[in-house]
Amino acid sequence: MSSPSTSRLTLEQQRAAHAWSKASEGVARHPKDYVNDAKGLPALIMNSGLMQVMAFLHGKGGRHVTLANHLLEWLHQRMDTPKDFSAFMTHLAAMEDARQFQAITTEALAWLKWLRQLAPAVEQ
Amino acid sequence: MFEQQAAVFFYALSPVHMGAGTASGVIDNPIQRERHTGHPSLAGSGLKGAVRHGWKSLGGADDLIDPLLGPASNSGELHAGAVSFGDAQLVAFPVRCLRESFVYATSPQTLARTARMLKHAGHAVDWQVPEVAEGQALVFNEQLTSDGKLALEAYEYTAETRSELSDVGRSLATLALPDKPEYRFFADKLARDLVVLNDTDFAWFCDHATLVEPHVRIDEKTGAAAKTGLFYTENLPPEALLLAPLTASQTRTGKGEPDPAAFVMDKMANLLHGAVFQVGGDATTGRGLVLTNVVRG
Repeated sequence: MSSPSTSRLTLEQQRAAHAWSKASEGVARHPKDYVNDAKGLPALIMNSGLMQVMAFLHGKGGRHVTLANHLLEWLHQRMDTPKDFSAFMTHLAAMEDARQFQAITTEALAWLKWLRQLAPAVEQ
Repeated sequence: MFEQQAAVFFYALSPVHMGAGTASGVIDNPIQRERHTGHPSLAGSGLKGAVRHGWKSLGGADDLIDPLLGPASNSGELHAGAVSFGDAQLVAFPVRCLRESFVYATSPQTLARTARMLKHAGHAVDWQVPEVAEGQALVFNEQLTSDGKLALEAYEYTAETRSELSDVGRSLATLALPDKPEYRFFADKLARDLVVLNDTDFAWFCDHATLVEPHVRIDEKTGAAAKTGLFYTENLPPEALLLAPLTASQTRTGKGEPDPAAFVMDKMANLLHGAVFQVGGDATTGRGLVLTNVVRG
């Protein structure tokens, strides 16, 4: 959950600030690819589901893991999900409440909305 | 004064992209949605424009375009048309199902709005809007379920079988689809595989289960995807069902005797009933084929 020091910021500001720092880091490491990957990730999640996409990113390795870890970090901060990939997958797989699962997916998309806009801006 | 009321069902035969412009959300080219429900919708202005554009191919007479739909903006004439199209609201949304491929999902709120619009068009609605709790799904067809559960995409709902749901499904199927062999399968499926979810659960699929597709530009030299030009477009999925109000007044050209509203409505209803035409953007890539059926009192 959000820390007391950032609680004065709106949730959108917190998402934006986190996405901006991750976008800067991601673009520095994988200039063009990070931008395209970030742009396509929401559609991938909408079409395939959050867990499938996380597994896909980790299966691909390399720059995809960078992106996946950035998302995992935000979800950990905001939704209290495990930061580590396998623990995250185990956590979601065992989740019995579909609404909680949907809330996590919605949060992932809300953060990615910022990331996909900010990543190309970092590149400029 | 609009004196004649009808309602028009729009059944998507192909993906439909009635766009909402460029957006800064998760999709670059989202589809139109209602502000307060977030449900996909089709703007009345877009529907009217599409009817005007497809007028001749729909079999409309040349001399009726201006009196019925209003003069073209560059014609120099100034009078209102005699027909009004409202925005199409969602009736049923196709959702992937573990069994029977997909279901026509709907919700109490969606059905209540449908009943209200049908009643406004003069149709006597003979079914009740059911109540359903979050996490629950009302089904008619038990074949959709496994061990009392209904699996839609990655989510499971506790299924409850309701025989009266078949009245709703059959009523919608009869009103929305022409009685022709090519539509019989879907009419039967709509009657059989209509599923009622809680409004909250239904909204999830309306938000997250549309058709999202990436587009790239092909580099002429390499024949491969260009480095730039990647964008994502959202479509209303095929088999989605929507309903729009249609109203008619007498013609208002100011020339000669006006044609009465009943004449105007007859012309529009005859033109649109059982018709297939194209709405929205991306026509050259097969987007926007809809089947229309008109309901009158």
